[in-house]
Amino acid sequence: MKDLGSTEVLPARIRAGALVAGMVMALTAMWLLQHTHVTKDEADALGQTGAAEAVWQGVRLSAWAEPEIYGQLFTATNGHPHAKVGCWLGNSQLHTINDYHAGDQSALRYASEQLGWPMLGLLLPNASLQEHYVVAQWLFTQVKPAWLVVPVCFDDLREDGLREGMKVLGTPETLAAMRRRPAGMKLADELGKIGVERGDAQGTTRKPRSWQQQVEELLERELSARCSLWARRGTAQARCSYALYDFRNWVFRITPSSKRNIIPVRRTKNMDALKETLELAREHQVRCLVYIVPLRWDVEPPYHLSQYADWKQEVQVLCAAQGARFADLDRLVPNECWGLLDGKDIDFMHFKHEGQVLLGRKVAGLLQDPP
Amino acid sequence: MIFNSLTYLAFLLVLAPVVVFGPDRVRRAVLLFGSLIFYAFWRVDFTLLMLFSASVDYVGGLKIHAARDEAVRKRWLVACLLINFGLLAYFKYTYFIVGTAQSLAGLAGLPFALHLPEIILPLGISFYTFHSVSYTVDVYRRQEEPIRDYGTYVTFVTFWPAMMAGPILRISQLVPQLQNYRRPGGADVVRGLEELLQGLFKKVVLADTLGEIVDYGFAQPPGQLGTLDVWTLAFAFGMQIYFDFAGYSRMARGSARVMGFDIPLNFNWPYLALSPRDFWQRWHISLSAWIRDYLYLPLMGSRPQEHGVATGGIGAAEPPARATEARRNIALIGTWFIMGLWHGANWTFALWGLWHATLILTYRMTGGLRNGLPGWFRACGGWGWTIAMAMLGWIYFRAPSVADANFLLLRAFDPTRLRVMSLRENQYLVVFLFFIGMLALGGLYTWQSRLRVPIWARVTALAAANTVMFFCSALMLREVKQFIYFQF
Repeated sequence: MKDLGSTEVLPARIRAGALVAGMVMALTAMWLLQHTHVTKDEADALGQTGAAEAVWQGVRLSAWAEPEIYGQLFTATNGHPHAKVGCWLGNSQLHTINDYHAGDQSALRYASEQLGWPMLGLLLPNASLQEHYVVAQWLFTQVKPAWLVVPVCFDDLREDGLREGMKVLGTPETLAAMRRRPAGMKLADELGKIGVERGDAQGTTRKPRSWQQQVEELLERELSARCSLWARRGTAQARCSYALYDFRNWVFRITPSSKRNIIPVRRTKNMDALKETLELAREHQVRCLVYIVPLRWDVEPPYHLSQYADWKQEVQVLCAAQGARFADLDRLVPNECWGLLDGKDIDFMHFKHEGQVLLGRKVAGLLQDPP
Repeated sequence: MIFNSLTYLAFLLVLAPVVVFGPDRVRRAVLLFGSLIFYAFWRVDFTLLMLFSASVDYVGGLKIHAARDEAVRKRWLVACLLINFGLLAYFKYTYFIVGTAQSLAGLAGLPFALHLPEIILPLGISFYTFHSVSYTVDVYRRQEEPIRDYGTYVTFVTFWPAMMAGPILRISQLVPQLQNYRRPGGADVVRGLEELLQGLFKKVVLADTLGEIVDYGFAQPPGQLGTLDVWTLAFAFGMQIYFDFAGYSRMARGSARVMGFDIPLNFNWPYLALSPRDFWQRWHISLSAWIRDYLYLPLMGSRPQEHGVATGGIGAAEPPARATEARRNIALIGTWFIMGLWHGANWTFALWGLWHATLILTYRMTGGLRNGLPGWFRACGGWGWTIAMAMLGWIYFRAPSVADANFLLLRAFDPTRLRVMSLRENQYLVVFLFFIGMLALGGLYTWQSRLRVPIWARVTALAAANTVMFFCSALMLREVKQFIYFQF
């Protein structure tokens, strides 16, 4: 049978040359991607958008990656599970600052300062409400915070699923607690499956430390140690993703102001997760503040405004039903306190340092003055 | 060991030169023990099971050949089949059989509970069992001489490029090459390396990217998916399984070729097929040829001599004159039912098989109607209908339950849910672009000989394609995504 995938119309010598050329060009492209641009994080640090730390009385208040959360919580409570601490779930709004200057701190610092006890931020970029729910559930197995602050962002309703790093939060206690509620049950299943291959789940299980895994880890480690091109593949991959993302935006003329459609399934899952987060707080007798995150209003927001208004109303009703405090802070940060992402694109999510101060103090005020 | 790993690339890099340049005895030893080590990288204990299965057929083949009495020959054949299929049934179908029995007993008001031990499905068991059984049957049919050298026989059954997920090899396709080894030329090595690269790209870049969308989509409650979602997921999974399995098969072929062995093509642009019959001559060719020769034709009372082993297609096999229409149809349905269950121990797979039986039967019955249509219309309509039906059929293959699959299938034709979109915009875009890309590439390969392209342009295009494949595969190779077909 003729192999339609064949390129044998060309002589073998030429095909060998094309293989070698392809390999050389691919390696060159990888090298260029790793060395001629800066990563987004580096750009943030060097340019006008920065990633802010928050430190108060020697305690680092913000954790951005899942495994960090353990350590931060331990430091904040000094290892004592009953120490007074507030927990603020969130996304990049609480650690990314436009028009960044060295030393700028996030809202967590200003809230802690005003409250007199640490307000610990468990911040995951683009976190969904489902992820907040998992973090909250895990949190309650570790500590009883004085307050749980849950920012809700219309954008985050488009997110779904749990990131791989959340596996570390899937302790037996967390999973067991989550299984007591419908949305929690599904998330617990999802959390339990992180890192499990489909084939493995169906029975074709490798032994925990199969030869394959051991040798693969060894080769990966050795190759990474000896070849920076291999070790930094992640950087090149991230840059490719950004480039593709920009290319898509260019082709479809997508801008930060383009209207973002609601994805019904994801919206439902996230709102179910919010409802159960509030139930959970109530069950643990932890006071809870839910606020609508600040939004930029000098240009029309990228939402369908009627959908946005309906959603805010829905959150408010939900909070009232669950005994949580609700605050609509979407107009808290004035126009002049917003900025541009990396000095270029209009940014509806992150604001300048002044905005962080306003937000921190406003939230602290709400916690100090419950209705 | 799986192909899409550093471990395998290192394994091949070390062993292939020894196979090619080593003396005969060393080459044979490396092929045999290399295959066993390859399997042991998954689990050492199950290597013994594979050896046992192969040994049964080795002994069986010799006994069948030596026996003069037809009844004795038949007894040996039955014994070999019982042992091989018994092992397959135990490891693969115990849960399914017991679960079905429990359901039926429950319906009859006689519920019972049975606690089964944990049964791990040995990787590749469906494949090496088929390798081995085809040998015994061929010896029984006097189509092949038995292999007297145990090492050669075990190497045939466990030959590492084809052991885990095919192509399903026949004795005539490999053993002569093992016995009369021919060193690969430069062209073979280049072609082998090209196939390895193409296969790796299909798996780690295309299949795994689509896999994330598919896993997400099929994990959603079916009721929340819209019409477009169902079609998108059906196409996404159809492409994922194609890239996954065709990628594996191409790496298998490439691995064999760099060592000087030629194993048959297993996929040949199936989504360009113009009819269901054509589809099964292009998809998993070695399996459909096997099923045709050892199941479908015997069910029709025919023998497989007239068909080449390298061509697949159940629907294409001509029935003997004495086979009635009814017998043909029953044989077809029965074959597809078993073919479905071979893929997995679940009713969803059986229904997937029956779906394809229905497609082929419909195709047969509408032959007269089609003949009256203009050629171009027949080709376009045939392609559109075949690909749409093949893709929808994958819903049964991927959905977790029959109920979910039925629901999704109905949802695919629900006009009231057209505007419900539950995936991210990017996910629709990725599936659409992959589909267009696959068709464009398929068209390019199909018509490349007719295109008048200067050689420099061909070389540039080939180098550019190699660059993209190498670059993306190197970036995305990670530990360790199993191939979908390993679970079969």
